Amino acid sequence: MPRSTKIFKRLQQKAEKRRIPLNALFELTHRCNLRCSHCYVDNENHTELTTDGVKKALDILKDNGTFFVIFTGGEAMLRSDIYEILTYAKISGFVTTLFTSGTIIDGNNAERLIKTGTDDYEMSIYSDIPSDHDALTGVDGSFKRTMGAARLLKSLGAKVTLKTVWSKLNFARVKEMYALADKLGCELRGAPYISVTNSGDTAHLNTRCNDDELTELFSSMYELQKERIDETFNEVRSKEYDYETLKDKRICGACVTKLRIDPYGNIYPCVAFGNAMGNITEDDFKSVWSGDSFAKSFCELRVTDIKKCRDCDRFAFCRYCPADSLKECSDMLIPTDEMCRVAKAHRTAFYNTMKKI
Amino acid sequence: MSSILNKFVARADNIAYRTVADEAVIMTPADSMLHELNEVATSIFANINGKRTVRELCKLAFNEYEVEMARLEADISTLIGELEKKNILQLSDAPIN
Repeated sequence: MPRSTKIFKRLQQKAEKRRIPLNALFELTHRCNLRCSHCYVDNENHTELTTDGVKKALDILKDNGTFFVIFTGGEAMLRSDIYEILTYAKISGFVTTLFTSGTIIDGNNAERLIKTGTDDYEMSIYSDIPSDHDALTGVDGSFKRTMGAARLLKSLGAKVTLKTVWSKLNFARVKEMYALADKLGCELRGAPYISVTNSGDTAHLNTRCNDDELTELFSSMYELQKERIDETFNEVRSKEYDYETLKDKRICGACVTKLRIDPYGNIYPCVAFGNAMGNITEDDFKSVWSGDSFAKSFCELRVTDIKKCRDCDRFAFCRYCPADSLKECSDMLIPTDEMCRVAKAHRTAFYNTMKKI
Repeated sequence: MSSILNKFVARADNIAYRTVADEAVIMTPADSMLHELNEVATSIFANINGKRTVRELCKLAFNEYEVEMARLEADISTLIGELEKKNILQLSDAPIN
């Protein structure tokens, strides 16, 4: 997806100004054939939207300006109507991405998938060591199947992106993970943020990297992109805390340019907020989008309302998530210890790399 | 120019597009590139349906904007030609479904 172009940024700014839900994450099912330890999805057993229900939801999203749709799960490929849904979304003029483990994609269905015209496939890979990946997903052979699907889709001309959650399991395998992605001809994206689940589960948080591991992780990533360090430095400078700029800046895009739809049609502000605002097939979308009391008050918040972060020297390295704050601190405007810890490690690694070169 | 005026024009298969604040943004799938159209080009793009020729698009624009027909035909032909080169539009001698 063309995330970093000037046109993309202008489009997001226009959408933010007008509060257009440009970006939708559409969970088609919560059923999954993997059992990843960090998964945020609650395995509820409700009646999922029918094919017509999903199409109706897409029509509503289109009418309200949504352009980018990410289909995910659970494992979205477990829906037998996945091809029909992806095709309908493309015909409706969306830019479409399918998040999938790839474990159900093989020679029997790959070409059918390609024919849907899906713009991008994103697959999670947790280690370059098969047994480590399989231990995290809870399914033997899942690494082999994911890699096989990525190779197959690439060979058929698809754009495939690999994603990872950096954790204790893989923080020391940065070079190997990027090498694996390079070998496949894929981009690798990752972040070390492991959050409390929407249902409040914390058992998996013990896989978070400690401070030294985080610093090693970020240092390894900067080592791999030393040639971009000047560019990164300019980016960092442009993101330093400046009250005058930030007093007009929203905290994030949740319920502004982003939303999430769950498999039952419930509308949420984003992937991390667990409070449903309404239902896309049962309620009037415009009333939900503009009338929900949480959304209205959230949209009023600005970065400068997070008082603890004022003039913080880690600000440029911080990925503030108000939903995480709500879950861990019961207050959207208090940074979690985890956010501060990750930002500190990132800052340390960045300036250590700067010193070396 | 006369040849393009008689061509039927359709949006290319699989492009993604949305109009935000009266300006269309289009993504071409082969290269994942985003393209922007201004307000006037967006209104012309909105009238493209595979069943209209470039000349018919010019007539629709003539009703909407106070510009001489000759100028409109030249400008719209250029626009359509550029969008065809970017694989956003396809041209044909017959209507396109």
